[in-house]
Amino acid sequence: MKRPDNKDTFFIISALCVLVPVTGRFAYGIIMAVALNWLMLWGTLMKVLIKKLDLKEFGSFALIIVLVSCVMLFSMLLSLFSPVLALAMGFSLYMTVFSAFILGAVFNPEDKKIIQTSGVAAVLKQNMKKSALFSVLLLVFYFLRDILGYGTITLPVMSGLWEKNIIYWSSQQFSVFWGSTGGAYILLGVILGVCSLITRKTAIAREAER
Amino acid sequence: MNAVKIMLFYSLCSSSVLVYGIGVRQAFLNSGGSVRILSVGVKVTVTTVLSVCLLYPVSTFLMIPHGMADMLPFFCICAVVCVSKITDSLAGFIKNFPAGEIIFSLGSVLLAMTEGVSFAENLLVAFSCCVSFLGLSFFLYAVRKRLEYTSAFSDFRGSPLILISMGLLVLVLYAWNISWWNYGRIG
Repeated sequence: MKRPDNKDTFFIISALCVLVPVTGRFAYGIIMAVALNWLMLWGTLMKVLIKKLDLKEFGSFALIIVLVSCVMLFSMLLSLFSPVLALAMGFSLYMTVFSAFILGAVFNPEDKKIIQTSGVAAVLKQNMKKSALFSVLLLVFYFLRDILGYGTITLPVMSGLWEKNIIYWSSQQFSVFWGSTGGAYILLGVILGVCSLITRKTAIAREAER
Repeated sequence: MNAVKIMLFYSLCSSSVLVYGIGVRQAFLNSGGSVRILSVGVKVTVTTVLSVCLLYPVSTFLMIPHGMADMLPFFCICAVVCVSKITDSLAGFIKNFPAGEIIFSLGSVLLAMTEGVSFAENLLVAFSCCVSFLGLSFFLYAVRKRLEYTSAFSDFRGSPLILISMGLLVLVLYAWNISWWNYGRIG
């Protein structure tokens, strides 16, 4: 019977840098998701270039430099779109580079074989697929934090955040907890536990059917 | 007094590990016992503090006067990679001393260089980040040990309970500030 093992939880924990430090608003989640995909795209292309140029030890260093420059460029583009959002995100955008999810995908040694056998497009497709899957998880997590914490849905607009009230909490004081850092950790722990429970029960049901 | 405030703020209230997520993965997976945790702590502290020492004059006398403050992350990478290479080679002489782990140092140095306004403040912020990392590593190690004997629901054992413990730790650290419970009327 399959239970979410260390590999599954490692995936979530590797991503804590992206899930926790930003304020629990859906709008910020969208920006983080775009930043993550932007980084994955350029990181993967740069990795292929490094492989072609056969840069050995200098390769990793160059890759981190490129990732940081991509965040700087993204931050500048974001400030063109909305200076308020760029200011609010600030240092948190750099957290996407330090996320082990990005580093793990970009530095994956197995990609060398795929580049040799199937070409650049295959690696790009594989990494972007991973990134898209993770973006969905990230957006769901920020959506939950926004709804549970503030009872709103927010979207990024040029003037900052567009906000729509969905739930009018009778005691908003408590609900705000889910939008905080502590709430994010607890929510993530509960989601992991529930996923583990569902996976185990599903596996039991499948075994019983056989 | 100000130094104590900065230390307490960056190691507890605005812990780089808990609030920014810098090094949270390393702290989470750092399970090789007290000696291992301490040696990782020493390694990252030396790398982080030396990198700040190297970066401060570059930032103050070269980057800021020439309007290159936006280039700070590049210089951070260069400084941390250079210092990390040196500490790794020195650490190679010591048996079982860990190498690598530059991501935490990189994040801490960047945070220290952007948050501090003087050399002493930069150093204090960087050092506090390392203290926070070390403290959380020990905390998570203790939680993991405790979980070995727990009778908690099997699906919640391991990572879910560790994450919940981290959430509770954040609550404890913010216990003095209850402004989010009462719209800031008391806090």
